Amino acid sequence: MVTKLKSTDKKFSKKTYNPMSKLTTEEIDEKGWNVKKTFIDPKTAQEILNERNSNPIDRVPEYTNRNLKKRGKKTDLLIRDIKANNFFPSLIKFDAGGQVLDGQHRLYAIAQAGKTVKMMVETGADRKSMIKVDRGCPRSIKDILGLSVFQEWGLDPKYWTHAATLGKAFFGYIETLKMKGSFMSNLASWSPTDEELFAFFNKERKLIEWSAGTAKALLGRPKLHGRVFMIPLMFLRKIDVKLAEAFLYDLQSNSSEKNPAVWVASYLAKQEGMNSRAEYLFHSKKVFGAMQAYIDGKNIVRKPKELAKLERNK
Amino acid sequence: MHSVYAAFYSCEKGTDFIVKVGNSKQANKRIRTVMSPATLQDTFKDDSLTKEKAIETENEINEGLRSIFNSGGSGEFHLYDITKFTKVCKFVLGYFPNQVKHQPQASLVPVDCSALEFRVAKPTATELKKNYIR
Repeated sequence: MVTKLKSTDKKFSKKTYNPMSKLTTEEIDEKGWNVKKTFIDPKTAQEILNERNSNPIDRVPEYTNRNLKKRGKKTDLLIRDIKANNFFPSLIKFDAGGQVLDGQHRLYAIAQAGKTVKMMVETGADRKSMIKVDRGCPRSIKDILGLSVFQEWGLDPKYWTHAATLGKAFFGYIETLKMKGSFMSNLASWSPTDEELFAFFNKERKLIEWSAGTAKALLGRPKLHGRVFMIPLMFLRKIDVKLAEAFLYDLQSNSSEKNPAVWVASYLAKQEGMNSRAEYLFHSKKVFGAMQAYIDGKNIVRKPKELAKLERNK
Repeated sequence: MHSVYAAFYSCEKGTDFIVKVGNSKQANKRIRTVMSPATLQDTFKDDSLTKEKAIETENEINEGLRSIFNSGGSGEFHLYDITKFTKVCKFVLGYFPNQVKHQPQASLVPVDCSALEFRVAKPTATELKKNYIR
């Protein structure tokens, strides 16, 4: 059970935490090593970025930070999280000279979101710490969903990877179909907030659980457990559950190459690698086409290669 | 859930095939942990029976299979010549309901997954046989 800290608690006493205090330039320039809980407003955040941050692009030999990605997916997500009050305090680090060592993207997001947020601020930090910290793996989408939605569902962790990948890819496909412009570039730039993801996963729980189980069972077959096959299959199941199951059964038991399900399996087995998004979408379209033929009750008839060549030459 | 299962294995040369019949809560595990140079092809399950009824059905099928040809051993793992496929298949499937849980190409499916095992109308022996001939 989580117990809430009260303002009367020793750990939360006024001596160590004053909810009204805002970060000031004097505090950043204080001598010695300090860690404080404080508020950072958008104006201060922008001032820090302007005066206390240097990037390689500034061509200053002794730069401290990496380049600021103002249009990155992650920066955009930070801004949206701050606006939606889904942001949690984390550490902003300054060296003894008052230069930002860690937190430029969060400061940029605070400035852009226009909201004052609670933060922890370390001043007088050793510059060498930049080499030693923040070298772990960032939390993947599987970890994020595993810590929230999948645990609530009681989903076995062996299905988490497939459930997270397929659920997010399916969500991306549906959202991108609604957008105008190039499907591929829209798919590449699409980035949902965690809350949007959680809502979608909870809405499509049955479908995602089913697809994770199916993908796991298809692990022995080339490409069939991946998004290129599973996303069209999820659409098929969304239209008709029985038809999707019949498609899977035919894929395993039917031997006629004309059957769309069998054709999909052998077509994907022939593909060597799908390294780019364009390649993946190209093959996905073929699978969608075969599934449409299956829905229509048609067979897949391919003309022999030589005959097709002759026709083209005519 | 207790179930009676029948598993069909193909042999490398395509001249023989193997049938294993049993009853278990862990049918998938039992089917896939046989030490034999054969490839698992089809599994059939009926999980609508009680434990007593399942044991009784299993014994009946095994007895019947031994009467077709007794390949020796424990009497639960039957090796046949491919010419007996139709006869054996018809006999075994006769003990299963018309809508049966069937897993084709079962060797490709992991032991802990039953997502691709669908309840379907019983396939014919001719449909099944082509996977056992090389």
